Amino acid sequence: MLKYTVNRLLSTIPVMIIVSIIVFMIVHLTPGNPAYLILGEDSSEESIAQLEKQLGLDQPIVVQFFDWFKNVITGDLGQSIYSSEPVLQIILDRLGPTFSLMMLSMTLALAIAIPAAIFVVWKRNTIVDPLFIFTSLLGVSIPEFWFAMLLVLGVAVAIPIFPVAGYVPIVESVNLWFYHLILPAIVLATVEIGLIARMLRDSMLDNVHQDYTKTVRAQGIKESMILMKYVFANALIPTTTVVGTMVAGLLGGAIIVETMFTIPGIGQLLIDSIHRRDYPVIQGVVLIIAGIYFLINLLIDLLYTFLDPRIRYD
Amino acid sequence: MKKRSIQAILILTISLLVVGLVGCGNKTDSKNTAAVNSTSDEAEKSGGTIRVAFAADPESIDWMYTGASPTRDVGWHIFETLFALDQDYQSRPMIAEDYEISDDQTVYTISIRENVPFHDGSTVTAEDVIASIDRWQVVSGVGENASQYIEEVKEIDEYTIEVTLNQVYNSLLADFSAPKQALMIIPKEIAEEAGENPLEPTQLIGTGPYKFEKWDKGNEILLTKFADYAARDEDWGGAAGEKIAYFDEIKFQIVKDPQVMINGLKTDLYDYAQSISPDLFEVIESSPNMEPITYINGYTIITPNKAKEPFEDLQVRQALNYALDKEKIAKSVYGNEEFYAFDGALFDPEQKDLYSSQGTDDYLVYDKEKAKSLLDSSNYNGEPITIMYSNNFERYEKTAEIAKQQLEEIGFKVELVSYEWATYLEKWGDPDNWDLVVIGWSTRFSPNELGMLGIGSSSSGFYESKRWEKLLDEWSNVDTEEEKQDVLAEMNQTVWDELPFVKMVNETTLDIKSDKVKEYESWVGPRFWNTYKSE
Amino acid sequence: MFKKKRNVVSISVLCMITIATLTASFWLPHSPSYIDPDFRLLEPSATYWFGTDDFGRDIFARTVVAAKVSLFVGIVVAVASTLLGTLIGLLSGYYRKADFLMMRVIDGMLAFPSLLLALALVAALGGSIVNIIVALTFAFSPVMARIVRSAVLQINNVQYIDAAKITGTSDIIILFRYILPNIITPIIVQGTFIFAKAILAEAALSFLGVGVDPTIPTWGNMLQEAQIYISIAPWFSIFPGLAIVFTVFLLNILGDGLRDALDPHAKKVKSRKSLLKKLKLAKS
Repeated sequence: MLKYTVNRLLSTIPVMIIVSIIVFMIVHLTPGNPAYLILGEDSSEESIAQLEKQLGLDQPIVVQFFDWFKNVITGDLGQSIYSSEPVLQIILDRLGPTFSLMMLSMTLALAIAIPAAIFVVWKRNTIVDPLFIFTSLLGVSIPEFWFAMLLVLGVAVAIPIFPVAGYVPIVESVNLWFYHLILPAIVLATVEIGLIARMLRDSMLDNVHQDYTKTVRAQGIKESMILMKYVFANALIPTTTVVGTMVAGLLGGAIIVETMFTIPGIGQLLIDSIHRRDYPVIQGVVLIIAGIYFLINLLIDLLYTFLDPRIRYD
Repeated sequence: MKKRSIQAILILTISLLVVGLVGCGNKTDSKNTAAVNSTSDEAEKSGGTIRVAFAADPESIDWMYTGASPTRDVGWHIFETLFALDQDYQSRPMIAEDYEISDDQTVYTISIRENVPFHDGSTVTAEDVIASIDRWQVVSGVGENASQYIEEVKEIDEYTIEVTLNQVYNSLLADFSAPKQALMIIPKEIAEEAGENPLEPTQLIGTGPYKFEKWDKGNEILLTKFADYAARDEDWGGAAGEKIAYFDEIKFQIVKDPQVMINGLKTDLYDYAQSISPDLFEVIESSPNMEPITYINGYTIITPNKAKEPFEDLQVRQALNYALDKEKIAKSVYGNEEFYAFDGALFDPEQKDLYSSQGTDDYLVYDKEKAKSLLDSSNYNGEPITIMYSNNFERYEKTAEIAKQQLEEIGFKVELVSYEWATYLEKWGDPDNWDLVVIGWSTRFSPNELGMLGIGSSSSGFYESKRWEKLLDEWSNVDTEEEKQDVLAEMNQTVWDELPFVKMVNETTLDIKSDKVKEYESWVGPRFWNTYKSE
Repeated sequence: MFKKKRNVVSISVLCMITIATLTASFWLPHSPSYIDPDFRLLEPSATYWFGTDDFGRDIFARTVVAAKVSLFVGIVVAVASTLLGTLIGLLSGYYRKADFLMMRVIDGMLAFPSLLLALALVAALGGSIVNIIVALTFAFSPVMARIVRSAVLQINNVQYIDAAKITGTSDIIILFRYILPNIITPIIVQGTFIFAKAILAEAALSFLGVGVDPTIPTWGNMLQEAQIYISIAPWFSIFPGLAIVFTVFLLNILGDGLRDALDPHAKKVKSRKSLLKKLKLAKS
């Protein structure tokens, strides 16, 4: 297991390099002079020239990449064109809301999806199952932003109890934190529920048909007992996997939901920065989101081997 | 340097109507609010935070440097000008105590109020005023224009300055009171230190009723009450006279989505919201806990590029004017007719001293046949023309979209190109990039501030006119009201004869406030002094 | 049987939508672009089935016409990422030496949520239809490559492939004649899901204001325009949204149905790896 862990950790290195190259390319793919993109279009000739020299824009692109990469490794993501503050600091300030939103939606989604999947597996030979498939496919077909619009219309306009904007840090007030985040969290969770409930159902269903459950069943143990004791106990592993998959959906969804609900997280920061052409921040946010996603999946993989030592990778 | 000044001129002149403009009904809600109830206890009104849902993050809070509306709306809480406009757009002394004009009208002796403290504790003296005027002549478009006439600004004593002109220039006080790129008074050291650069957040030291506290860019600007504020006594309104800061804090929170703004007011998240679509006027009126605030905010125009074919030809510009059905455009773009008004003049009818409707007869004439024959007999060769606009502003986008359709009906080929605001400004500077731009200009208070007619500038579409130049010169020399009216009438006539731009409609902006905000008096932009919150 | 019928129904409805939008100019009762401010923001009625928008244009006509762009972006992205992903997957699965490098690149791309990758690319390239297609293709191909690769790996050791190798059959023939036809099922299924996801992604990008030119009617652009009118003209938001949900739902039903119909063993998920594969199938 140690060997696996070490291998898994080592395998992250090339991936991180690839991620860095992609992020680096964001600025260099853009038509125009990267110095202009980094400093803004109204900067003086001298500062452009200075930055060109500093960035080594006269150097081969590979050299430029390694210089940039060196800075990133040391936590220097550059400076925002827009606010002149260090990109890393801006992003760190914005992580709280995004993290809160993701945690809340994940909790919500799992709280509904796990019981739903269990129920469906229990009633797997009835109309419930096709109905469930239908609903979950419908769920993944709904655009988050449209659902958010309708929810805002329905809840916030017709029954104006919940605020539709803003964010209060959890350290200031747990109640207000929850009160501000609940609507956006519902939006994010709803889109995920269909998908993860479906995955859970599929993997539990496989368990139901496993040989050992057949053996137990042959011993005359009640079906509900079998489900409880054997199948759902084994659902822990697929649930862990599902969480990893969810993170991607939640991170993508957060970009949209934060923008719509005026939550000052990194998703909103990204969209604002795109409209401002603040390339250093765009690069930073993309890098950080990829990093978080990657890290969570790594942790899950490691956790997974811990939960189920039978798993090995080639 | 050249680039910077082009940009500065653009920004200054355009005065981007970031505040969501909307047509100009002659609606002022100034009567909504009762006169300050002198018996009520000031302490009772004091306190609390006003949370303003703000449409756009300003690029800087340097009210002298940047001409955009968001800068002004924050800036005039922090800074004060030497002179300021009152509720009826008349110049009044603000930091100045009084002034005298010599008989030959070339020497202005201005006395300065004593014991006016800056936020850093120092007191305003003549040298601060002089340093501010010096910087204003360099960084402000209005100031740059005035500097042609200013010979010298010198200190007479600690609280008196003397401005000497090289010729009669009657717009000086109007320029000193301009609410955009304003002559705000800042400490001498800061004025000299900042020089040609916009003020940094640490340099935002003024004399206003609120002081700058914190700016979380893209998110929130926090101002706090300035306890030592030296108020005037006069009840002049506008940006002038007595200002009392009742709130402990003003929070300008950046919110882009108008629906979020409205819901935020309903759920008590905000107390004031800026720039709401006029289509939502009825929703706001029928909501129990919010009230609409409306004010004039200039007009939208389509500026043809006169530096190249086809619009260098007056005949093609006339075709453009006749081809556009302004009534249809206004109705589609603004919806609620309370928020736009058809008027072809350079100033708003509300600005009685400046208004003249001479020459505007052709403004609403929509004549497709005439447009077609004008275009056919011109040397327009069927090359596609480019309409450029900034996609940050829905109404420009909508106007451009309809204009495209209407111009195609008379035989133009049209392409729409949109950019994000900053890029748009950049592209505007180069005549190769565009043929027409759709843009709004907020209310101006003197012909000198009409940037859409700046000779040879990109913001005027490279307008060249001896006639207009002569009129501007005459304007600086007018003596009597009658002469003034004659020049203004001739100015309107000139614009309609030469068609440097095609006017769309006057706009009225719709803001909303919570009904807890009391005694708020509407003017050309949101101001949070002399108003307070109570349940 | 139910499942087969399901596939037939969804394919037919999708074809009908395509035909309807391509022939729209011949049969629409109102012009999608005619501006008439006297008829702005009208409720749905017998004349205007979906109501009118802020310019007084017929929302039904616009919704139908918008399908053209959305479906176009969807199908091009689906085909392009399928081709690209399949090619990479085939090569990577077959040539074990190239595999390491290629898979690291794919892993790197998979480290971005696909919407994020698309956003970043559109931010760099600018928002035209072509750039959106490029960005989305780039965002969706890695998933396809992964799936194809593992399918190739499973089949690579089968006897007849070994036999073909020994008899000196050229790699191209082995890849495209022997391997590809055997792994076509997951490719088609995944291609259908990419189609659905590309439509959602294009709508999201346009809605966020970084997508297709706002003067071109697309569902995302319509919803973006409709947003401020949601409380006074909800139909303006509801119908284009329903159009997205309906189309994407049909594609998802089809993908799901094809998986069951074409691959009866798909349900037998045994190890984490195949579960993972399945997860990736459903979500990128």
